[in-house]
Amino acid sequence: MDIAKVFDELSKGRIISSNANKDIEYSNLLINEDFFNEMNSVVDKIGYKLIGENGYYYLAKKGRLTTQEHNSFITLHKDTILAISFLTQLNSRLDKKSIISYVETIATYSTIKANDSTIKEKLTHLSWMKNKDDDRDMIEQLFKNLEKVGVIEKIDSNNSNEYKVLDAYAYYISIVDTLEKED
Amino acid sequence: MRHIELIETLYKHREIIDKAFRGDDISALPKELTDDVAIFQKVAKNYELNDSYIEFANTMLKRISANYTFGDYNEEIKLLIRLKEDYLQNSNKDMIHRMKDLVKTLYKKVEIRDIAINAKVNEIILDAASDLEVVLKEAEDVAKRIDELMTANGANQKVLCVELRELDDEFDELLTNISIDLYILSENIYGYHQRLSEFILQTEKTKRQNKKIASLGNKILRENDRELEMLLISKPERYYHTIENSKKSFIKHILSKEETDKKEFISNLSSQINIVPIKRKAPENDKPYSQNEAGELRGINIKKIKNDIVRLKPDDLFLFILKHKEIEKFKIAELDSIMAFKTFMTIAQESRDNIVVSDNYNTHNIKEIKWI
Repeated sequence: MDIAKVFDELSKGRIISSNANKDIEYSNLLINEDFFNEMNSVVDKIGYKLIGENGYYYLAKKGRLTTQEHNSFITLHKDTILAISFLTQLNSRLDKKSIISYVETIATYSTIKANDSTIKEKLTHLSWMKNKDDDRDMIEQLFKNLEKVGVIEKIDSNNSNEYKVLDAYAYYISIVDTLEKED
Repeated sequence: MRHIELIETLYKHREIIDKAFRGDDISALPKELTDDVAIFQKVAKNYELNDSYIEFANTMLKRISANYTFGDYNEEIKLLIRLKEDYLQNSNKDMIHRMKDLVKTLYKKVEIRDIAINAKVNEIILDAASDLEVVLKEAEDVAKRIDELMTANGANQKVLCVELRELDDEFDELLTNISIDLYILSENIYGYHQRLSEFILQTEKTKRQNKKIASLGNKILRENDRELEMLLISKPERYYHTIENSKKSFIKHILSKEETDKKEFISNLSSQINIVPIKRKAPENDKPYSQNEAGELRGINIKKIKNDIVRLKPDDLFLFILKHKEIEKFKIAELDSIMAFKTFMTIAQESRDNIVVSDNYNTHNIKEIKWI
């Protein structure tokens, strides 16, 4: 039951990226126009809209959000955009399909922090952080959470250092583009 | 020392030469690498590889050294013109030999420069580690230099294709062959320039994007992000939503408590809706990559011109192309001669077996080439 399988994954509250290895089964289904339309008509009947653009797929709610949904929805977006802002400050070449290294991120963070203490504020402001005194732990949490929301993925399950930036990155960039005007 | 002995010396000391090539400091060297062959030079207290060796190795490996400069070879062209003038004054055949050698050397240099430019453009485009500003500056510098080379190429080609003609038959033949090959190399430069321009545009876009990400990031940090909140809540149907967080409030009116288990939920969802099997079809755009057929050169239908040439077999290929309707459309912009020449070179190069080069020149100082 392919539609049920894809719905099960999307209902976990994440974005499916076409360039994610773990999502290859789902994105191969969603890229098929007939499947996409069929799936969209299924979720439409239960109040959702299936959106597919720029290599990523997600479910959006058609009606108003409840207070609980509203709060978690806003917090998730703020955290993710702030985390992306943190990473682009460390790596100006970051874009979807880039490879980022956990070890290099820590090293670059330490160098930048020596001259610009405000970079740490970006980490401590994230709601994901428990231990706000341990920089390494905070960066580890940042990677874990970005992986959870589908923005990055380990390039290999045995390699905990290198991550690929997924197509879902473009979803957050589209929000940035909508809000921020160019100089 | 003979050449074979040089190769043997290089092989004997390959480890230390390779270490130096990879940038390691070398403080002590076998005497034969400094005295017998000057592969190393002493710089301060250390030894470094000679620039000529680095350039040789990079050329053979189709790489580029950081301090390589792309020459326009204006000096060689000036020397060629001076030799021509000497020859016209005293008809000394030695001048022709020197010009032949110089034209061959010039071609070799241009070919090596082509490899180097290609390597440099690839190096810039594939460099994912350097800072964006650094890469952008380097890309702009190289693009500017390629721009200058494109202009210099036009002037140099005019000298080789027109000004050095009619001095000697063998020299003319050499110039014809080399001009065709140089034309291909100059077309490559246009391609490199285009790749670099696209890269610069994309990198500038990333730079603007980074500024915007930083700006929104700072607004979130300063809690000055009401605009973001308004955007997200005003269009929930447009933005990503997490069902998991709201599953209970969402499904409680559809399913009973014991049915909220995920497997049950999916099975219930499926049974509620009439799902018909999906018709599988291959994605329409998933076709194997195929290269475009040759036939278009910046708005000119070369295929059409070539068909007419094959049909009418003209005695003077260049004049035929110049008067062809496909070329005449460039007359208003006074680009007809240049377009005709480019087309002429392309067709002549593609069809060497179908052409016969005559000894005569036409009114445009181009050898009459007959189509057979």
